[in-house]
Amino acid sequence: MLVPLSWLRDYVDFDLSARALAEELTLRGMEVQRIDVAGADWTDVVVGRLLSVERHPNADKLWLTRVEVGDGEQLQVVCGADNIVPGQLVPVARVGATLAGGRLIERSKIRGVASQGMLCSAIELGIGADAEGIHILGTADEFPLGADLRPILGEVVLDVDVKPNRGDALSMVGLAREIAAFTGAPLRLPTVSPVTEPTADGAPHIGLQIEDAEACPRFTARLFEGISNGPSPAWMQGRLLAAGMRPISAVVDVTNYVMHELGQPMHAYDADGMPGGRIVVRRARDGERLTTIDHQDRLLDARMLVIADEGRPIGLAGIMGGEDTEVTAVTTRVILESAIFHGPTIRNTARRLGLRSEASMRHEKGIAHDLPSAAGDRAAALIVEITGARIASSLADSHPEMAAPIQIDVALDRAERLLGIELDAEMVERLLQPLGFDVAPIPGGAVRVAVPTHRLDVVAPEDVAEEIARSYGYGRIVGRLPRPTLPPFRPDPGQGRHRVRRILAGLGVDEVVTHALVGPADLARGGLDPGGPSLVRVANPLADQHSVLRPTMYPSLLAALAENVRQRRLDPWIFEVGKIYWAGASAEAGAETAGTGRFEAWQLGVALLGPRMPRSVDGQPAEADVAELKGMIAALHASLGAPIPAYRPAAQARDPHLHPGRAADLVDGGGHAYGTLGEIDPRVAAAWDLPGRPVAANLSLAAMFDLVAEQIRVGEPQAAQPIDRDLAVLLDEGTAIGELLRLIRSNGGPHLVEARLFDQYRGSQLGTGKVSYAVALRFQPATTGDERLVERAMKRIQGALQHHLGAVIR
Amino acid sequence: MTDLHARLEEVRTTARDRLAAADSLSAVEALRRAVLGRSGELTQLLRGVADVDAADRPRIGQLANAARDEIDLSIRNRLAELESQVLDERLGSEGIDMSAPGRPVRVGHLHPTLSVERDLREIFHAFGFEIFEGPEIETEAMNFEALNIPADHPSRDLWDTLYVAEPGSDPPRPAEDGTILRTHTSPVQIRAMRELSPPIRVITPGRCFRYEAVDASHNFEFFQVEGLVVDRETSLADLKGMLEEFARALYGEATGTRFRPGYYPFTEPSVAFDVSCLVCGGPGCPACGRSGWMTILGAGMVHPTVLRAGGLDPDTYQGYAFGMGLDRITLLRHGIPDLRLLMGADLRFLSQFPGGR
Repeated sequence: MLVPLSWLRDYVDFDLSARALAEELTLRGMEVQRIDVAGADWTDVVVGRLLSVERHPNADKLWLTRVEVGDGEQLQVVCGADNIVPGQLVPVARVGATLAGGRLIERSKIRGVASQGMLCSAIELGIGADAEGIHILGTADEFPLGADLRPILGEVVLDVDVKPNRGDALSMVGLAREIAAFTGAPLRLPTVSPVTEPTADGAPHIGLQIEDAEACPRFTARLFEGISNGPSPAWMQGRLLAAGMRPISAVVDVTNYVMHELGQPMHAYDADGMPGGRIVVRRARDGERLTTIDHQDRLLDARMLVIADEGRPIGLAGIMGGEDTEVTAVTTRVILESAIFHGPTIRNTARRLGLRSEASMRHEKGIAHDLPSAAGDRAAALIVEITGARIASSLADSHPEMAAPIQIDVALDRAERLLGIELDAEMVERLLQPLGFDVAPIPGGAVRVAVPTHRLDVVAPEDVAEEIARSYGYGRIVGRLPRPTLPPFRPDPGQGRHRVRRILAGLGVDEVVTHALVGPADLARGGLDPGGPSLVRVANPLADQHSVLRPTMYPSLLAALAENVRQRRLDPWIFEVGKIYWAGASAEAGAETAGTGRFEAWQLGVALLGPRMPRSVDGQPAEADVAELKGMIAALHASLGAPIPAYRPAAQARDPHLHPGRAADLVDGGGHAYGTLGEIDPRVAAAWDLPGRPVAANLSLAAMFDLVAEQIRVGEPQAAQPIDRDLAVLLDEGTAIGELLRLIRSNGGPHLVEARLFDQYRGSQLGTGKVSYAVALRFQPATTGDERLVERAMKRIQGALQHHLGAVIR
Repeated sequence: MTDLHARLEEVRTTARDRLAAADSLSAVEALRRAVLGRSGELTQLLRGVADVDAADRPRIGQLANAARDEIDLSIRNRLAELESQVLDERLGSEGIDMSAPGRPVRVGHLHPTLSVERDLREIFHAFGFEIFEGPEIETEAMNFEALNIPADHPSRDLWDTLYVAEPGSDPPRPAEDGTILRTHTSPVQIRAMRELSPPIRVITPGRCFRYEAVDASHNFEFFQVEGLVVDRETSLADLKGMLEEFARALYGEATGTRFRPGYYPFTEPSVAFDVSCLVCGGPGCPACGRSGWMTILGAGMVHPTVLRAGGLDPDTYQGYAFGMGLDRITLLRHGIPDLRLLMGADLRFLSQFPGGR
């Protein structure tokens, strides 16, 4: 809410600078987000009178004006706005003036014609949002020719963030009440001259019919006649502009003014548009239509509350009026509504129609029961005073009766326990009285607190406790160090993820964090069905490319590679620790769910593109390939203390992102797959505009962590010398190396500690379709020189390879 | 006898001179063979000792042995000297350009937001908090109702929501079972209360989602850490003490703090917590809106309705909760100008953050 300080001073005196006041308000929960000093950051802007407005000789869209600026001085000014006519008073920035934002006005030539200054719009002066036209000033009484505009228009404005529970503070008087409470100064409510109502006999009476009393706890209305609805006075326009409202006409401005002053939203209907003269507050009928004053034809339904006359809706309750009853410059008869509507209903309607307004916002937050009539009287007095109208009806009021104030019993020890402040009844009274609460001690160490009618947010002892703390000052509460009652120790569930991050960074891979929400196009590029039933979609995405929760890490990884390639970073190696999401059944280890039938699980995604090293004096390094990636995955497992996975070729059932001949599942010792890995299918890489042959892996972190040995048990190192043997075998082409190594390991006996492939050879002398592999074996016998043990193991290995693979031992 | 003595002396002298003249390892080696070898000059003389008179033999033998030891030592010294010279020459010739850089090793970098999250986990772990995590796909009931945020309540405006679509709906409409993407990690607090028993002291880090237009300080995906403490005696003063300690742990001993009223539907009283501006330190600058303060978290005493939703009796237990945006803390910590840099893979940006911390 924009709060011009001069307006605030109408209701309370304070001897504080703007910054000090802002600080005090902030410390009491009314956070001042900005202090705007409209009028203090421009100079040399004066009141001028337009003498002539003619077309610029060299430009169709510009005007050439002459303005007088006092003491007989005349200036020639070029201007582009269309709302100027001779005789108007306008703000003139003279040569040498500085405008809001530091813009300096210089003598200039515009399309060949000299311009000795500038005519200013509201936005250029920082006093409003209107950039369209020149800010036309009021009468010469208020704006003497040539006068410096700073003291007239200049205004310090606070931007106050009033929290949703404090609807009562969404007004000048509401904030003044807070200021009065902490400064001790008296609150001055606006004086309302007694409303002269017609005598009951013979005067027209507005019939009210409230069909839904829960949605409309109070409705008041009054008829005015003989209105002359010109512009409102300059002082009112100035305040509205400073508060961010656009002046419209006297009647509309009065409703906005009183809304800002007291917090009561109002609406004025042109009574000539309501032949029945009766007001019905009811739910709209499904399919009913209303053209609102913004010229939009709106389709209504039974969840919306409308104001209607005999036959049709004439306004959306608390949100916006209808076009048929819009108050215009020629309106002479007005019905003024000042009412309370059910907040959630208004909020729901406003959101669905995209029509949030200052009025609807205040209805949402709640309005005190006594406010509609008080504000109605205030507005009536202003309308009569400004437009010369007379009040032509008595006040129609649906629910004039006032409820007794809420009383809350607060146990002092309970409040002490909550706040950590020592309290007694007298202190509570001293703290709460200035805020309008009546406090009386009651037996049992408690107080009975009567809540002022405007404080709709205070309904429970905890709310009273907050008021006590607010009044006492949060800053005065003495902080206590954490006390030593500790919960039982549980390990950090994120610890494993952090280890993975550190290890991968150590292996030379960069961490990225990308959106979990991806787009259908991202999925399609990877060969996934964007309409798949297991995808979790968002109903109201901000953009199509962020409308589906990723079902795999691959789209995120490839997008990340592509982002870097676009920036000419051609060798990105990246990883992300993040979640994947799916609907249906939970097949994944460690899947989480809120019981919605949708699941999520932590994953590791790794993608490598380009060489490990840039080209150097050592030559051109090899591009990252599947072997590089496998080595990295193996190193990760080894660093975590998990067994190295096996790789099971996955040609048919592979992830569609992967090359059909270069895709594998990561498989644990029990044969369970917990991830995929391989080269990206060249078609997918092309769809992402990726050069080269990127490789990537996606694995379940929970499954990998399950493989980590809980305890590491070790023996003493053997004193005996290890024995090394090389094994060369001739195999049929196509025999899986993984199978060769598995057979060696499973037949090598307990003393085989290492089996490492170190050479492979194909050549004509081997015969076609044959390949030779050499494997280095290391045995660790218990006693030095136990060759017999090694020979037995070698025999077993050779036998198994001959039997299972048809190997020829060389 | 004298003859033998004189010849010994001669061999000794000439060996000394010849050694001085030998300027290579092979020359020294040849000298050794010529003097001390099997048929070397000195060896021959030593054989002659046997023919000397028995009376003179010990003395002559002694002299001969002394001569051999002396020559042997000189030769070995000379050899060591020459070897050292040869090594020096070789080392001198194999210098490399030590100003050249090393062979590059790829260095990975860690994402700054997750590093901040890690720091917060460690700080709060040290304060005796455990870490509790929950699902990102949530129910409206947990995300809002359990937290005292009823439907159509104006406070819902604080959390614009991304709704999960009803399966098969086209155009998509919100799922009938009320499934949403969590707008904060607060529902995890409810889960923690239901699963653990007091005393509860948890933090709940994680990813959150909001229907929010993206700009330099907002994103529709972001990271939060919230904390929850529930015990029999837990007051606003405890909350204040905890937050002050936390601010000093995160930003340093000299950090100023400010504790002021705030508003959240799930806390009463509610608190906004500021630290002295991390850019200007207090006098006021554009970064802190000239106020000298930066709001880093919201907090408050857990609302009785929320305690009840967590299965706890508000007459027995009370507690406090706090929450903060990790992205904002990350921006402030590193002076990052635009939040959007954090949710992406731009390695030009990410490579500035070390991977070893």
